[in-house]
Amino acid sequence: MILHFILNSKPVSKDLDPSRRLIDVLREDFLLTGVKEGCGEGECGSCTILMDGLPVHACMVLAGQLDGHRLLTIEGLSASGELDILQQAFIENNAVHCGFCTPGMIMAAKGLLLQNPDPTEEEIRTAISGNICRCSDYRQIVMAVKDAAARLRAQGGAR
Amino acid sequence: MTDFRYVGKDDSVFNTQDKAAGAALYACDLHLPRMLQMKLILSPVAHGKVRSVDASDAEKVPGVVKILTWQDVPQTKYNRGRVRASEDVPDQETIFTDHVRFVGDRIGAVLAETKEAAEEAASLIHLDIEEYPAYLTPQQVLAGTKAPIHETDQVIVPEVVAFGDYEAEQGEELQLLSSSERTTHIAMEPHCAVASYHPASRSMEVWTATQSVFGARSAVATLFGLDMQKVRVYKSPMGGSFGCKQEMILEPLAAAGSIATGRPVKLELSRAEVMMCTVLRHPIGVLTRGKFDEDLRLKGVRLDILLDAGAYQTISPDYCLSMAKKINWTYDLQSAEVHSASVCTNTPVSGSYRGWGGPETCFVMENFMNTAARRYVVDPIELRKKNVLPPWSATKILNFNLGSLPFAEVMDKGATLFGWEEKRKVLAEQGHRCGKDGTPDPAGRYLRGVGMAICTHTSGYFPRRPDWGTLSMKMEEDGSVSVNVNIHDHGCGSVMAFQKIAGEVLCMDPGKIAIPEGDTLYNAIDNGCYTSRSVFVLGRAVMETAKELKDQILDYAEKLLETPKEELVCEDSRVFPAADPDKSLSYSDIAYYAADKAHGALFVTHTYEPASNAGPVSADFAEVEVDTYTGHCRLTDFACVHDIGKAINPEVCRSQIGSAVQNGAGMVFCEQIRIDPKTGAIQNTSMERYHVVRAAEIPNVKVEFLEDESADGPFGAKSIGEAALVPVVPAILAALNDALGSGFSAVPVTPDKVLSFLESAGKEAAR
Amino acid sequence: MIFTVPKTLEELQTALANRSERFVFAAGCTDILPKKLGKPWEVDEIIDLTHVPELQTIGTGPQTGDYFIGACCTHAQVAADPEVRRHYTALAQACEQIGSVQIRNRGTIGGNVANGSPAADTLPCLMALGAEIEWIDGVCIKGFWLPGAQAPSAGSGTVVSAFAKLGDRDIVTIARISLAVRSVLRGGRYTNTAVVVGAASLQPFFCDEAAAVLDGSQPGEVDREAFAGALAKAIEASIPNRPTMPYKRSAVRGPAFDVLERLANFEH
Repeated sequence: MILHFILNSKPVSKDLDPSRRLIDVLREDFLLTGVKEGCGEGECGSCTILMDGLPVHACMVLAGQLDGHRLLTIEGLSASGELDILQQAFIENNAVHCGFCTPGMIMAAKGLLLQNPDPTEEEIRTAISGNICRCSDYRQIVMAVKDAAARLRAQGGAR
Repeated sequence: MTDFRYVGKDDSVFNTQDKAAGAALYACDLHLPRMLQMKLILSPVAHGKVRSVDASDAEKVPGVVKILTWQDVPQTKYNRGRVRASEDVPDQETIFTDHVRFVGDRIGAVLAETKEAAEEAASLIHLDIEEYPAYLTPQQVLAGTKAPIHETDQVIVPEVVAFGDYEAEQGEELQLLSSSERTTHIAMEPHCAVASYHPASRSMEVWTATQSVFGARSAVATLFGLDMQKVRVYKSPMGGSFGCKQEMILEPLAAAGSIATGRPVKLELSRAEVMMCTVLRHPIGVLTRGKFDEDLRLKGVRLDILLDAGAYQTISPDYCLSMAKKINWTYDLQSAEVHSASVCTNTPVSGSYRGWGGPETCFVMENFMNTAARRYVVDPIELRKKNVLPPWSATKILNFNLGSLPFAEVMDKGATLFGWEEKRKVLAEQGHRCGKDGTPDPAGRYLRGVGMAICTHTSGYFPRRPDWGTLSMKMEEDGSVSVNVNIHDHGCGSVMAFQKIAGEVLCMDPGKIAIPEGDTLYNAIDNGCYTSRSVFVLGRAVMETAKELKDQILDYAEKLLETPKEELVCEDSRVFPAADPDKSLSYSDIAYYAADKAHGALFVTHTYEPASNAGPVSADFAEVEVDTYTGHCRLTDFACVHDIGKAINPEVCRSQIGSAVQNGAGMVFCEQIRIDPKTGAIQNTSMERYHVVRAAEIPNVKVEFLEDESADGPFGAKSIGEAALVPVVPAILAALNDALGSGFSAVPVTPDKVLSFLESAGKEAAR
Repeated sequence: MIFTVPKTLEELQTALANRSERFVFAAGCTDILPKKLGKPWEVDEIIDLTHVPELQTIGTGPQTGDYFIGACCTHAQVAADPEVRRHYTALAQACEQIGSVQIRNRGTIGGNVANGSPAADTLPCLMALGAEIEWIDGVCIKGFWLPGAQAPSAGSGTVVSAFAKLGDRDIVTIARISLAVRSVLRGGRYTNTAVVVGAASLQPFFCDEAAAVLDGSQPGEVDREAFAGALAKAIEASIPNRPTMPYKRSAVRGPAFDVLERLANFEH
């Protein structure tokens, strides 16, 4: 089945087995291996991407459903070669450890900041409760999101 | 406290740019030409004999290349915990087996062009299995097995670890049974290994997120009869281990698949498979007995440890001993006796978990001390102060010095950081009842309580077994440095710690020091990144090697700058006479000079052998809130003080502690693998049913470090990664018990248990 | 494998008419994909429902004033809808507590119902609010009709509703007990109350005894213990022999108090 969608800002038309999961398509056909599979059941958040600007699990979407949608993966954040403010904030606030949850965590945070440019700590913790990090108590992650939010607000908002 | 340029300053872990960009390549991201996907065929029954495997339907699936069973692979028995082939440990496991011993035991595997084809074929395998009686608890096994799980070593009783004469001690004997259930590590990266066998040269390459490339190499080389130099194991980036990736589980399997097909093979487990057929934390039951004299001095203790090893002994007998040997690391005992048994059952394999017996011994001992504090109505801190080892004590087991042991200091500082006195005062005066926000309210729906625990952990193998760090270090022509050391970063930043250590010594930007991770072809043989030895042993080796490299640089500089070494200063990759900073040479100038005009390479090799093992001590304080209507518990505050010696990268050390608190809170409140008592299968092989503590359920952990720089680790550092977890569970459990007025000593304490306690307590009060 | 993506209602009807014997609907996939994980598909056809605009609409019906929620509206969409928040508060509260952000952005209200899980959070709300299902050819849910805010049953009063649940944990959790309450505030007192208990047993059920406790009471003055007691009795009666019964019977007090508090805090 030929599917037409936008992937990391580029229009794509691709012949895909529609019954495959989006996570497999992204990782295997587009080599976007930043999308990580930690559970495959929508519980850990490692495969979080943005679909039409909203965080979703790439393991909970079928390829055949992609027509007309706009997808953004972690790779799309730094497509210009330069890391996005959120990515920088994660690094600078020591919010990256083993790194396996990081892409999904950053995308969940991205989704939050698109809707809420100035989240409280509680709002951040609630928004990332679908993403599991086992390397921390989430403190540095919360700090990173707050830091990125402040920097984005200073720049005039998230893109 | 010494002020350093890099050490003690916050830096992110190694390779964060790639990780944040989604560009770091984990084993699951590797793709080799002609690579096949491997899917395991797992036993659906807890105990039995596979009569036959009908693969006729599976073979018809397009893309299936080969289906392997036990008949197609070496039947050599091995032990997945063996790091070096010379280790004397029980051998029970085979690559695949027809005698299946738990639901999830490996019968064979499908090798196919795609993951989908492998999954489909595996679902079409028809197994004919004669079922044997299954023994799902150690008690059932000890009562006798009509169908033995193993011919030998089904039950192993390790040597009794003892000193003094416990039976002869005077005083009242207190008894407490502590137990904890199976848990799974939930490292975010599920296990994955890629193996590539080259039949013509009989050589093998393996990419795996292991804690010891040498352990993986040893397993693969010995099982398949390959020359060690022809088995090259690369440590791939690790998405967390917490112990689950320290044993050689996947590497031999992927290697078997690659040898059978002559093609590269990827074995990537699903989360359910990780839970079923890798390794789980041991369920334990420990009876603790101890005698206090009238001054509340703990004279002696006796532990009786029963460890459920799961279907294969693997590392469990060692685990018993590891628990036993820690009995005299915290309390000043006159006598101790530790009896243990490691029992195989028809359940998933138990094995390594962060802390390796440390958290388990601490759990039973601190439960015991907290129970004693309640019984004798004494502040838990006071009780401990009466009983802890004095500074610089030696343990009576193995007789080695434990280091500065600043117990009083970590407890006092921790009590202040947490507000122990004030919190206890409020609870005593106004009761434990409160409203949702924690304000005291006699009619409130919630109960709050506080608790604490202390511990000592290890910093390496000394003196349990020979230990060393052998490495080489070189300077390139542009003044950058690369280090060849057998390091396995678990994701917690040990590579960055090493970069900082080397950078500090060499007076250069740690970012210009490359430290690639474990690679058997180039690294000198090493014991692996176990037992909290990375920073303490290998980090010290890096420090000493860097000093030697610096010495080589200074030898040249002395000549070129015509200034005695002692009068030279290094700063920012330059060297200059203290008296004349303008007359400086860059490291690059020196490296070029060495290569162009002198003896060639700036290159050193060095071996460091530790002669001490400073135990980091810590005190943890927890506050827990219980919803008396639903039984839900929540960690509302946590503070701890760690005697880390020197925090090389403090912010990363803090996140390790945060991680430990998250993990420990899960163990107290919810984390539990449940085994179906009828079938032996895991009832919750999904993260929907296996609960961890999430972002919104954990407070910001307050951390303070005690840095006396007294230990032999680099810059005085002691260990942290495992140590962080050790006292967490008993501290939180004590807080829960304080809130409820209960005496729970089994974890997890689920909402059901809380409510049933409250109901019976209510009935008791009404009587 | 046939994968059908109807893009209009007519195409969906055609697809349903020509459907394979073994088929499955795909919408948010938050239930079917975890179930299928690691195994091959056991169907011959997948019919995608996410590209039919009629299934994603939400709004007031043309004549009756009844409110329509398309089956493929996501939980996030339902939770954010101002009309739902105002007039069908219980449903908004249920939808904003389902799973995680990612699940709410993907999972649909139709899927939640069609999946048939006893723990489905929207079910007790839809029942309490008197929702009716509109079917397409008797096999596919088109959407749900909720009685208009000015419907005759409300009379001169104001419809209020609330939802609360208890899971294994406080967040990202599957309900062990869920409670939906819908009532009509008339003269400052609750009337015509409906209470639905979800997740406790195989099917959600109405608990008239608990509803009777509310009727005639003023918000904030409900006999909460009597309300919780009625629910506890009903749960005990519905699952007398389940090992989880004693816990659920006792723990229902939590969501019972919570739902009353939310109901009392109801603001237009």
